Order: sequence, then C-alpha cells, then structure tokens
Amino acid sequence: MLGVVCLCAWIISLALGEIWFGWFDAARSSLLGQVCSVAWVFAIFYHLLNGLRHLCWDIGWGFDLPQVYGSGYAAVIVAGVLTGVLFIFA
Amino acid sequence: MKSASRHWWLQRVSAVVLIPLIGWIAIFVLSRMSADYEEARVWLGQPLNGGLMIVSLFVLYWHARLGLQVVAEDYVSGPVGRRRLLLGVNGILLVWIVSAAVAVWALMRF
Repeated sequence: MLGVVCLCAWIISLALGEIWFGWFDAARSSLLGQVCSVAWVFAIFYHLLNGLRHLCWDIGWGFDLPQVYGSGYAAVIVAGVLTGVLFIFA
Repeated sequence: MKSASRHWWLQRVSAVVLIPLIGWIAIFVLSRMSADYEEARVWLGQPLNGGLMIVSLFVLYWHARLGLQVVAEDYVSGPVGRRRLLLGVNGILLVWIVSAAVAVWALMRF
C-alpha cells in the first residue's frame, strides 16, 4: 500500500513539473529509495502469489496441509525469482 | 446481500481484476518509474496507458480499503476507535489516489 502511495507520488510529480519530478527522482535513486524499490517489488509479487493461493483455496484447491506448506515456501521463492528477473531485465 | 458476504465477494472480484493490472504495472510501469521526465510524461499521457493507470488506481484503492478493514478488525480493539482509524486512513488514501488520477488526466489532456 505504501508502494501505491509512492506510485501516486511519481504520477503527481510528473504532472506538477520538472522541479517536483526532480525531488521524486532524487528520493527514488537514493540508497534508501533503491532498497525500498526492491522491497516494494518483492512485496507486490509475494502479495500476488499469496492472493492466488487464497483464490485457489476458495475453489478448494491445495488445501491439504503439505500442499499449503509447499505453496507457502514456493510463494517466497518465486517472488524472489520474479523480483530478480524484473531488476535484471527492466 | 449481508455486508460481510458483500465484503468477501468484493475482495475477491477486486483481486481477480488486479491480477492482469499488476502484471501490466510490473512489466510496463515499474521500469518507467526510472525513466527521465519527458519520456515518462509522454508515456503516461497516452490514452491506453493513462486509462489503464486510472482504472488500476481505483481498483487498488478498493482492494486496499477492504484489506485494511480486515486488518483493523483483527488488530484494533474497540469499534469506535476502529471506525475512526479506518475513516482517517481511507480518507487520506482516497485524496491521494484521486490526486494521482487527476494528474494522469492532466497528462493525457496537455
């Protein structure tokens, strides 16, 4: 959710003008900004994957305990891989 | 429909709608957040990109609002304080989301 707040900040700075965009860009490209960017992208993918788990459970898939544990660990790993792929290729 | 089952359905409908939108954001938007000023402005000002962004912002708001309500119900005791907290957070978030939507609209027009 904080990520969406930052996404809004980017959009608003684009509309306000180059000075405001400069402030946004300085924050984003700082060390803290870069760390937060990686954490945000990981959080998006982790949330997406766990959302998919919940939707599967809602229709009765994967609700046995071993599968629940397995998909839980898989969500962490796949979110990490997707985050890596995004920052390497984009 | 009772409010609890409506909440349940809306949370899932917004989740399913967000699956493709998050894919779009991950592939096309995140990389542009490090683009320079002119490039980002032109890109977001195109009707398809701007339109998808406005839709994404409001579905994200809807999904976040429902999710925050569950978090508050689980972790904030006292119905009065909970209602005030949710009103405050939802209000601030909505003002920010609407500001961003207006900004996209401005980029599309000018």
